[in-house]
Amino acid sequence: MTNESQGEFLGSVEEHLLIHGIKPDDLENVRKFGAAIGDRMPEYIRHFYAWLETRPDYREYFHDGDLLGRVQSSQIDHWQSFFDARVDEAYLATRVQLGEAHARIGLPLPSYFAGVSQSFVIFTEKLYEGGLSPEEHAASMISIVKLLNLDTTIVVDTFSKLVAEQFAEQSMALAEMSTPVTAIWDDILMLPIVGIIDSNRAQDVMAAVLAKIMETRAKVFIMDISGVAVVDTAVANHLIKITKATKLMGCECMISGLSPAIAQTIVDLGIETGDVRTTTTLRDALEVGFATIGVSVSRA
Amino acid sequence: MDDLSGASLGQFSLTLIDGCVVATIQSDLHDEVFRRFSENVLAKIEQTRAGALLLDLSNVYVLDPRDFESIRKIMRMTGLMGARSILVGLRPGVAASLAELNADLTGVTAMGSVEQALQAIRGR
Repeated sequence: MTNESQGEFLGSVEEHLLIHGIKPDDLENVRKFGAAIGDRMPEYIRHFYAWLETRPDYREYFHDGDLLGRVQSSQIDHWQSFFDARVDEAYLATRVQLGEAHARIGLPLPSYFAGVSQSFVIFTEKLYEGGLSPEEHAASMISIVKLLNLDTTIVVDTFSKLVAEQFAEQSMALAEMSTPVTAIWDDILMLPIVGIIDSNRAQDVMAAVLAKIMETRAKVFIMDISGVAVVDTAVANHLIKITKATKLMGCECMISGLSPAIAQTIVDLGIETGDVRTTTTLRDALEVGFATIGVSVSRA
Repeated sequence: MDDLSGASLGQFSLTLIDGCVVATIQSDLHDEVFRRFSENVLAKIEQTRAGALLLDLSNVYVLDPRDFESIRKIMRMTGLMGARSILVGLRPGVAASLAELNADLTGVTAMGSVEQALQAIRGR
């Protein structure tokens, strides 16, 4: 909706017309067809919704009456401007807005395409009752399809850009959430790992941990894997690499949260864990960590 | 005895702190530099009868497995001369790449900073 997001997408009007091979004649043909439909334009809504009600996702998107009213009036405006066929900056901007609106409500693209083809059918078969010569009619069909393509291109492009943006934001948030390396004591860092470890995630963890070690000069790093779903050879190798890298930075790495099942898998798979210190509980790891940095904890 | 040609080129420097030789490496350690470096380091250890060698790599941004193998060699030589050796101040990128390349770390001790290493040595 903002001018900024429109600016990001929009090429010049001429470019858009060129891409779809739309010439002044085409726009004239669309206008002629619009004039032939004339006053019957508002009937479009009746036909369109008769069709829409048969669609399974109808209720999901139009549950409140106010919304329905607003959508219908903007639909009329949309098709009016289509058949006015004045393709200028404002025309393109409204198509961008349409794409943004659809992305916001999460309308699936197939539903949008179905709506466009249905509209085409309504205008050309239900509302048109003659008035053009057969040649004019044939030419206007081609011109309408060209202009429809221009519209849908802008809508779909805006739509997919927005969806991609949302996706990128989400995965960034997820990456940050998935590597919360915390200093739980002077010289002791801790990271609980939950879920699945693949090589991307392992690299994120490695980078986050090493940066934190650089920053805090911690001597002990505890990686708690009690929330890790599966430990196989690949996962174990990732974990061992992380312990190696932390060791090179002068920080001893311990892995806590090794369940009996994980211990069994590691041995059954013949994974070489080297000299990595492992414990069953976080508590045990913390005790070892305290001993390493020379802190003794006792009840007051 | 004191061949400081390497040090004068700014590729490495050797200082004695608290009975430890601190070797700071400034650039990559290819062949010739490495040979001079190891000669200088071992001579310094003999001269000063130092108990430990601290290899400060905090200025090294790229270290390939071959360079690392060279460093391991110096650490083994130091061990043969009865001194312990500690890697100090490896950068995150260097540590990550060595781990990714599965470098052999058996018997390697590393510390975050020269200060931490000196503390650890005094503590024992």
